[in-house]
Amino acid sequence: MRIGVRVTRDEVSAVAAHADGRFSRARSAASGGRTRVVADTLALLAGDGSEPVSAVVFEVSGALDREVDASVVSVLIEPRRPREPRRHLWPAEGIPVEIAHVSGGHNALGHELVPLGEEELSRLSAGMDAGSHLVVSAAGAAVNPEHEHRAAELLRSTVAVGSITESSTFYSDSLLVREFTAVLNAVLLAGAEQLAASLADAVGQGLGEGVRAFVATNEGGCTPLSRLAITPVHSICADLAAEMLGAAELARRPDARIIVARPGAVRIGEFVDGLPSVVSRAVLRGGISLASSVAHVVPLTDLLLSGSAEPPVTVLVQGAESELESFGIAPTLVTDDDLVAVGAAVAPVSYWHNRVARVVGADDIERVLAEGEAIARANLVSWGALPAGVRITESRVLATTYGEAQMIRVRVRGMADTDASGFPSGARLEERRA
Amino acid sequence: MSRRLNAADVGHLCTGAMFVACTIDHESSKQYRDMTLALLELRGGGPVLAPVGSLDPAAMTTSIGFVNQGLMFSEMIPVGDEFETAIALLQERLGVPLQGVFPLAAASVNAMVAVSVALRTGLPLVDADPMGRVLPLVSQTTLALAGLSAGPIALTGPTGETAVVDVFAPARAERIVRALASELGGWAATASYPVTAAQLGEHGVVGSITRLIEIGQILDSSLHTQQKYVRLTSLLGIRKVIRARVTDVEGLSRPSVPGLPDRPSSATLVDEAQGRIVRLEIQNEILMMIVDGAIQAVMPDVITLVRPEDASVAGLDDLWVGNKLDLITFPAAAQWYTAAGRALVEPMAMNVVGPVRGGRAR
Repeated sequence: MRIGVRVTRDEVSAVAAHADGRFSRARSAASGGRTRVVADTLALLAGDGSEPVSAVVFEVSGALDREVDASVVSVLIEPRRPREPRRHLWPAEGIPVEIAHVSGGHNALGHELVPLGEEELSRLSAGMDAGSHLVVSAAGAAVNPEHEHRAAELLRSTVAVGSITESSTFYSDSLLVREFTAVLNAVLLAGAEQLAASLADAVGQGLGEGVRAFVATNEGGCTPLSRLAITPVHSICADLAAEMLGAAELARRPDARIIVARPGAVRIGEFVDGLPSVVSRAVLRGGISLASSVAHVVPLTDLLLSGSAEPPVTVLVQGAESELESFGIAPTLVTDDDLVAVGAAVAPVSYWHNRVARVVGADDIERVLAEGEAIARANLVSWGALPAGVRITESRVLATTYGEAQMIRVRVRGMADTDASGFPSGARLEERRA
Repeated sequence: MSRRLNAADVGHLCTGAMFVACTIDHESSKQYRDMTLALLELRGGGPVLAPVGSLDPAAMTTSIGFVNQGLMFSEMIPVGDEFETAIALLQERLGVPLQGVFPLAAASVNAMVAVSVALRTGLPLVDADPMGRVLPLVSQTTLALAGLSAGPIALTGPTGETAVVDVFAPARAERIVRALASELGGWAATASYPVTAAQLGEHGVVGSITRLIEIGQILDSSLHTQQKYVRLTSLLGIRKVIRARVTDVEGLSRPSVPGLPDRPSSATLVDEAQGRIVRLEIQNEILMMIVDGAIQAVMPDVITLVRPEDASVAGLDDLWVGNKLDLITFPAAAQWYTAAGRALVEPMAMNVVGPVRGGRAR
């Protein structure tokens, strides 16, 4: 069986997905120490051990805390210093950040446009507080991150930093979107590290050794729990995707529009081949973009109900009956399950490969895509997936405009089944469609 | 009648500018919108939007706009002085003062840049442009159609390096400026097509800034999506709205014309209501929309993408398999439907289908 656990600041809610399709549940208040509560919940669901637990997937969006009073310095590496203050994205999230400019940057072909200002970096590091979180963002780093690497190395060697994040870790073709994502990630790091350690301990205490632990991600997949301590930002809104996954699993519908009505919200998402449709940028309050792929889940409107020949599948969470009244739709399914925990229990392991590559023809494109697929497969297998359980759900060259003709953007998405996860194999998809 | 633009106008202009050019990254437009709003607040007033007829017919004006070949402005961010430098260089070369600016394209970031530059320089923003939408090449302008010179062109790159190009033929201007943009670091902030107000009034697309503001007023309103479409139909003459779900996006191996930007790509969608197969051919702009094998819209028609849930403007980032979008088409400025206009902008002119026979000044 696989266990999905929704962890919030106040509560731990878990669902076990059994191999025979049954679900069992447990829920506890998160008082008296999170590790102990999670461990006890897992042990309860594991029962007498007659059905071994293959994996635990945590959904932690409600437990991620930002570091209060964190000192964040954003080092922007660009050809020239801006004449006026820029509109950065982090003020809207209330994160105080100190800005530093250093000369440098690469062009679209990855060629150095301006040499990296190493002396400027040295001067900068001299005035920096120990323990600061540094975010290094260079123009053109999506193609060639060399200036970010060098700047990070130089700063790491001269300042006792809290953390250094190279913003090219996050994929976007907007410098300020990458910077913001890295800044937000930096202020989540300390809390995420503690949380990941606590949850890893809980899995060991509650289930013993040998059970793999994962964390749910914003696009409806999951990734090893160790990644939570590195890129927590990819889990900050994983609850929306997990809830949709849970609803689709209970409804047993791999290709459908899914509506979830819960107290206070009615949302709709689309499923294709058992996976939620995804968009490349999360949009936070105020329209701020985040460089993290997210499941495309939006509030339901009358308009979204119209125009499609196929009726949507509506999953009603008990207690939210009044939410559907204004839409005039009847639920397909009524549940008192914690859909987020169900979704976590069945979330597939996912790996994304985003890359800018130089090509001159069809052969190059094929080669770049094949390399991306190989990298995705290798990573998923290294995370415990069986090679035969890996499915490349997307492998394509993305449409771009007004760029260099030789440069293309490639995106590969690999997903993998793990024991008892709800990620449908080709055969299982056909079975469900039938 | 001239009037000062206010903050609401600037916001609506940005929405309208993104709507008519959905394929260009919207972050750049929003960036310039926010810079302009901050400056507007600081100065206590917006730039003057001047009908072309309100200027002295002999007054010299210039188009301003980014020409891109490489990293976009959201990645290689301008520092803020590029256009003022280009305008100063152009004035010096012309030997006459410039008395108004207009966007190289009344669409996307170039529409927003024009507002920002007008505010910074105090020059009036002339309510006209030479494209009436955005077209991929510098040579694809109604001023070029009229046989007017694209040059001299003054330009500034991301590193602060500058150039003044004495060029007449718009097709040559396209090749030279595009090459310079690449070498300068991905883009060039240009001041080009110096024309008198009389020439702009006669050969430009007049009233295009106002139209963008009107589009934005509709899209930013609290109306429901369908009500917005009704209003847009009456304003723009929308020909078709198809709600469709993306089923495939592919980069094509067909090479671009050397020296011109970007690779072609295609998107396939399935019409939600009738199951028709919709195909979009993309090369910088959406060049063509084919429904069940029949061409429904083709350049110079404007083809754009809108999110059904709130009628917000979508972009290439929304072309994800499974995503649902509204595809909207409407006609471009009348000049583009003449024989000469079509020859300059239809897909054949960009080597997308058939032999190369365009891209040249006529």
